[in-house]
Amino acid sequence: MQTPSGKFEFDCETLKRFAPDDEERPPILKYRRTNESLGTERAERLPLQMITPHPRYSFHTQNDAKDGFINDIEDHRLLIDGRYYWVLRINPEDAQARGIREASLVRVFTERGSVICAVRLTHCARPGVVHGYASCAVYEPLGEPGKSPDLGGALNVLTPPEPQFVRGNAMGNSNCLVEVEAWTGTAPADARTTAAPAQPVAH
Amino acid sequence: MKKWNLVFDLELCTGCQSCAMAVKDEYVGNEFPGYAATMPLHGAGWVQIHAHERGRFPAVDLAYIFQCCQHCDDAPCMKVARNGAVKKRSDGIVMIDPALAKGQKELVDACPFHAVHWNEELSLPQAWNFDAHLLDAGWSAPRPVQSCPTGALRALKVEDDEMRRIASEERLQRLEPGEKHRTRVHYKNLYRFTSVFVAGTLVGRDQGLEACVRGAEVRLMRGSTAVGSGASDAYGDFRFDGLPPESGAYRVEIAAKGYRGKNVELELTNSHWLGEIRLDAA
Ligand code: SF4
Ligand code: SF4
Repeated sequence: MQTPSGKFEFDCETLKRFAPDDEERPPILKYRRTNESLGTERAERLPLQMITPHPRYSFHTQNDAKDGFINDIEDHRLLIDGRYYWVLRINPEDAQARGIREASLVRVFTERGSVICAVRLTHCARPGVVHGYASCAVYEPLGEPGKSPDLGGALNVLTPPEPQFVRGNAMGNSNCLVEVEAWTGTAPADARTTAAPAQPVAH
Repeated sequence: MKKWNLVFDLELCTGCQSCAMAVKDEYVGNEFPGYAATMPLHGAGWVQIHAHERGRFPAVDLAYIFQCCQHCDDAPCMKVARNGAVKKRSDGIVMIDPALAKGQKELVDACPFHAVHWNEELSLPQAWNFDAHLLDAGWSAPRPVQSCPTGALRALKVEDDEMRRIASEERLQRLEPGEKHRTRVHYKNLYRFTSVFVAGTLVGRDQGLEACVRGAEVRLMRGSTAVGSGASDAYGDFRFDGLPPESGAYRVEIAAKGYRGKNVELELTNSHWLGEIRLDAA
């Protein structure tokens, strides 16, 4: 073991030398609330926790949204009005409270931006938690880039850019506070797909 | 005469979609004269995997179902086909002839398994023909089976008697109305698609604190008959699965050491979580 003592260290020698008083990463591990916690004041406006694990059916951006048949996997993207939307999963209770129906379009947002997704109702997302994969291949803002909703499904737009702690490297984006609402806007034609607009999604 | 059969196990399928993608890969943009014309890039696949969710948070069960042409021995599509457009091969495979079937849209509605897809561009009814072109070229299994990482799909080329023996030994079932049409795609652990469950969580007290009740004897009763029994696990959870949906009144009887017995009545419609059931000290 490559620690100074050669053993598992609960009280970390190297951290004591490097940053003994780092509140964000103390030498003895302890739980610390993130800025994306339900215990923060932002949670009043953004009451849902969003988790964004790696995509299941594409390899990061590879094979997503290239007009291939992976688009037709109903847990990957959903074809609505001729456009393949990225899927966001939500518990039926949370959906009902927001007037959101299965396979409809929603706007998921934080103060950092907003993304239009197709919603799937599932009890695999516990109440209060929404789930959508990270790293889709498209960023397609409806208007001015950075200031308008994204039609592509880039949920990474919503997650915090800050690292878990300042004095080190660890991404801090595995969970994030969001709010979700029904979206009734209209999207321009999708230049990325040859799928016919009226084509129904198989169930 | 040995014939092809397919066995799909719901307990082994993770919903990875490799089988469905392999079939698209085989036929999108490729035609096999005498076997199959090209498959449309988008829309419903000839082989499909669909999620089937039961219960509600926190008692949820997620399973996947495999759907394709069931290669019926008594095939309704064959009965409406004209000019011999649908053939039953001697190895059990049902083939829609890509030349002879042109324009025969009736085949789509004739299939009770929704396995025939209409190719608008080619004006052609199409279904998954077990990758007959590959099997005829010496492949030992079709592509969905070859691409399945978990062994959830098996292709068996056996005598019908042998298949009946395997089906009864492994308690394989057919999709409705498969018995009537003597389908060649068999399903293992189909209860996760066709049946419902009752679950609950037992909560008691241990040294003044709320605690999970483990090892309680739980029985599921219909009238005076026990239709299931088991013990709660370390989390106090119990579950009775494989029950017919909409099957009426049941009673759950709970007996746990150190606690007073408790009965819970329920009306079973769909998969059901009884919630946290609090037991009183004896
Ligand atoms: S499943 Fe449908 S297409 Fe296949 S043989 Fe039976 S009726 Fe014909
Ligand atoms: S390849 Fe196998 S595990 Fe994956 S979805 Fe198909 S049957 Fe299930």
